[in-house]
Amino acid sequence: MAFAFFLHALPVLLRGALLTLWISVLALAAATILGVIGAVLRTSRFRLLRAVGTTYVEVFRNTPLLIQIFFVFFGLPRVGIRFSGLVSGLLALSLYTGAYNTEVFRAGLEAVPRGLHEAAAALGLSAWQRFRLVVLPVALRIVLPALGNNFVALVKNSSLASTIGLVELTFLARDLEAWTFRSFEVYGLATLIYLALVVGLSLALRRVEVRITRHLRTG
Amino acid sequence: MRKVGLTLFVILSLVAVTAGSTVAGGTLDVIKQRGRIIVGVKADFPPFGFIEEGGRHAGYDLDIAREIARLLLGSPDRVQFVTVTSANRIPMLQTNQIDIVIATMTITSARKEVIDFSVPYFCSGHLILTRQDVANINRFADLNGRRVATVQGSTGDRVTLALAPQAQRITFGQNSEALLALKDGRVDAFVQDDVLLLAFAKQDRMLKVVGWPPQMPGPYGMGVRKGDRDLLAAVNVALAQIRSQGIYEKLFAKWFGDVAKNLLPPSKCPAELQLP
Repeated sequence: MAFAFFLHALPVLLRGALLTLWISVLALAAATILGVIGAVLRTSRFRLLRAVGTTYVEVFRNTPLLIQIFFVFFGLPRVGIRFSGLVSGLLALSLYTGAYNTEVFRAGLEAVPRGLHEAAAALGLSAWQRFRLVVLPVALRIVLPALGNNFVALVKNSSLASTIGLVELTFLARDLEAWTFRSFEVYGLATLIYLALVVGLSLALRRVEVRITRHLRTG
Repeated sequence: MRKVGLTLFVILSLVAVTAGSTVAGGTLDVIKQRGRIIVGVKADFPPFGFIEEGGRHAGYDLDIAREIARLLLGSPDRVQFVTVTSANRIPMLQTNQIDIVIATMTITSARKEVIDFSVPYFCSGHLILTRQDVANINRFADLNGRRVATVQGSTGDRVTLALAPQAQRITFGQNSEALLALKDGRVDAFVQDDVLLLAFAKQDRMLKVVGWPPQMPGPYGMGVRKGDRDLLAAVNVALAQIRSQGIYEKLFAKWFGDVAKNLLPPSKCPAELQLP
């Protein structure tokens, strides 16, 4: 009986897990880019750019993600800006995680020793080359563990997108529960799938970390 | 990896231990000892359960619950309300977080397998809420190919699937969110119980109700845990008293007076709603 239910529920939940994975990967990419841009703004020499970066971080880090999702999905259409459910969810998740990534990247950029900047300048590299070839790779290696934490949080936070009708893992778990009333089995299974997703992501991040440090050692 | 395996083992063993300790029946005794009945009600479903201007919970279901508290415990104040949604009301009951569900719950055969229902106390069918500017939605068949809002765990969700299988359903957690999606133009229609949609249409001139007559009618019942016979009997007796004392008619006039002519009479309702 219980086993038959698992056979019925598993493919349904895995279909949801696929969208969860998809949302997570897209938001992860966008949040990484936002984090780098935000960190560059926050460490800029110009006060205005620093203010822009700081405002972004403070607004998105200090408000609940659920409110941000509802604001994008339900609030913005009232002023004529309409995104689909998927885009609304992605936008809010990316901006929210991007704010946390900004702080991580900022710490990473500030941790790059001054001497390295000076050495790169002495080699005659332009400002852009110094950033791309020297500072960013070193900063990236420093921030990877902290960045990984943010990515894990992102996968879990993606469950909030279920509230605006995105048929991802949490949505389908709640739907299954609402129609079968088997709370224990449904949420137990959903927990195991989230665990598998996050553990998989952590292992993948560790491989990236190893690769980046190896590249730095031999390069 | 070995660490992960060990952690999993510990979690699952803990879960297995707690799963064994389910509480047995006798809810009526618990309620009398506690001196208070804990009732699951809606907060997004006018006029049955909603939040008034000023933030107070109100509605027909809450008034009925107060009457039941009066008859069972001697005072209409001996009641504690817990807000539930269509999706979580039965799990809330099953996990002992509430004593009884009085939350616009239609009696269906699937729900009867997991909980017990009181005698019916309302009859409701399904209609379509749409905007004045939406063309060509007059019947349920017209919903095929359109974007339709539904609420997770509601009969409206299943009725849409049955009567318009090609409709693109977009499902929300609460009625308020589905209503907002309709007003914002994210969907063309919203399928739910007739009485709720009539209340929403009354509040907003941009909206209209179509799909008459109400489809797939079903009776609302109050839900208690499976096998909670004492509580169920006491509630059914209380409902009979509420009827015979004329309170039922008074509350009906108070909450549904203006839409009463559009509502289905109890005779139109089967004993339970058969959902495909």
